[in-house]
Amino acid sequence: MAVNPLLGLSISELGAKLRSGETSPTALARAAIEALDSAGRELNAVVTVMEDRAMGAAERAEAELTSGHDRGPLHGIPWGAKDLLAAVGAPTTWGATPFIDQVFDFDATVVRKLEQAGAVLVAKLAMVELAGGMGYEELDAAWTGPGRNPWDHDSWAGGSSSGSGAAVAARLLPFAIGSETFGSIVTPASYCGVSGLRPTYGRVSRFGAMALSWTLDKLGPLARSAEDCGLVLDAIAGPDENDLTSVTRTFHHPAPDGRRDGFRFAIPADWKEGTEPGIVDNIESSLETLREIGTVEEITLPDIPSGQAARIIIAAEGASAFEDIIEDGRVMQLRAPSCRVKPHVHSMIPARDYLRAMRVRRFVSQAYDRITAEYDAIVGPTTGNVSPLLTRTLDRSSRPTTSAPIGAPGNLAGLPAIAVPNGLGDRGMPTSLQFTGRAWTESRLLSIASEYQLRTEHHMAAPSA
Amino acid sequence: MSSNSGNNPEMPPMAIAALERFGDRLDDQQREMLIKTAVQFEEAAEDLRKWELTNGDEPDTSFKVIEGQDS
Repeated sequence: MAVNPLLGLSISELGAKLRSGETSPTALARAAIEALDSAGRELNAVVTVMEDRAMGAAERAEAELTSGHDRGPLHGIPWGAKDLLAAVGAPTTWGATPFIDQVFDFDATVVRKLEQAGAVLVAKLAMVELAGGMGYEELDAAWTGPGRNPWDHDSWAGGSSSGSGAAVAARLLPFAIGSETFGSIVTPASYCGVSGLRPTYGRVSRFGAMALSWTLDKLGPLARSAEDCGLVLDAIAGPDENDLTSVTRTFHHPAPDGRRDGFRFAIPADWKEGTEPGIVDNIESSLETLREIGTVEEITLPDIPSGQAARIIIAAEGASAFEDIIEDGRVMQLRAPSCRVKPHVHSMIPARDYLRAMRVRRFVSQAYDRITAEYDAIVGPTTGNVSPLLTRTLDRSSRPTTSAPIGAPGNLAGLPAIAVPNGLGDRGMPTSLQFTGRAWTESRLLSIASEYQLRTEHHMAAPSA
Repeated sequence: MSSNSGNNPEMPPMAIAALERFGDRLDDQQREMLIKTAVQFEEAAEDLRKWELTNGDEPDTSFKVIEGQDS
């Protein structure tokens, strides 16, 4: 079944058509439901299509628009939620067999906020089981099967927000919400060729989202462009009494005083090490574009064992969050063989090692705050490789590689980042440019990424698979 | 120590503890993967121990005092 091309438009383009009467919220919701139920299933991107809830919300959105009650840019726009967000009307499986029948009777805060903004929740989207926190090595680590990449169905969509990346890339939805503990928004954004925004830790309430690592979990959008990511973040950001880590700092998009040029970019001096040649070429081309709006300086990143700290923190917090299924043996129902074994080790990490990791983390936070205070963004490849074939496994060696060196410290320090497509690499698969900024500078990162996307067309490229 | 933990003197304490507690549910291949995982975590912890910390270097915890109501 052919997917309705309207679903490939940006949020603002769709908004114009909704307000001109060229389409309607019910027509868009119906198109998204059909697309997700056909092409979405082929990609293993979908857990549950929420037809009843979606059509009810779309009818309300339509009636409101007709009567002149306009809730803003997301009014009538269909979207999908990573299946770790609680939502009334569908199971919330966390991607994992032990939770296949889990049902919540409330909406996660982001679901509630997007509904208040008029957006129409259409589906729960597939994810790596337990958001990858059990240390998966196999790329089919989800009860729904391997997340297939719209650019090549034999390649991986990325994890852990696999369905969110694939559904947006395949033009089945204008945007989706993903989560990131360590790479789970920016990696599928990179592999699938979409824009993905990881907000500052605390910017978006996690209430109603599966907890993997309380000190690292973040929620954020994957969308067609940086501009669209900003529109979604504007709707979901803000304090929530149900999540004590959420902050009262305001975020508005577009920022009223957004700068358009004069930026200072830093790039790690060793960024080419371990990076595929095609990605090196595309990043060098991107740097030329960035020099049109600023300067680019090479810097040496501090030599702090960030990857090791992140690994221990996520494993220890994850073992606590899922202590029940480790203790009672349900962990053995997980799909990936590695996920049936590693949690037993995670649950034995000594408190001493966890606390040392958290003490080292403070040095990471302080060092990267100093760096990001000097520059508008640290730039580099989002991932050092393009999407791997599904027959591959992930390397979980004890020491991180140098490619994409900002991943571990960026997440440990809770810094915002945005990943945007910057071309095609090996096997014709998407490559991605990442901007990481100081805490709470999402507006600046969005301005930079939008300026980049004004000068390039990589984010417009669509898969033909 | 149960027979699950084996007799390898090089086995990391995390592996010994995990096998002691959960070994009965694991086959030989899984036990091998468990030991390899424990070695990797031990290496990661060893790297962190090389980072010099002083008594005053606090962890980045999120603990907050809950503001109680006045009695």
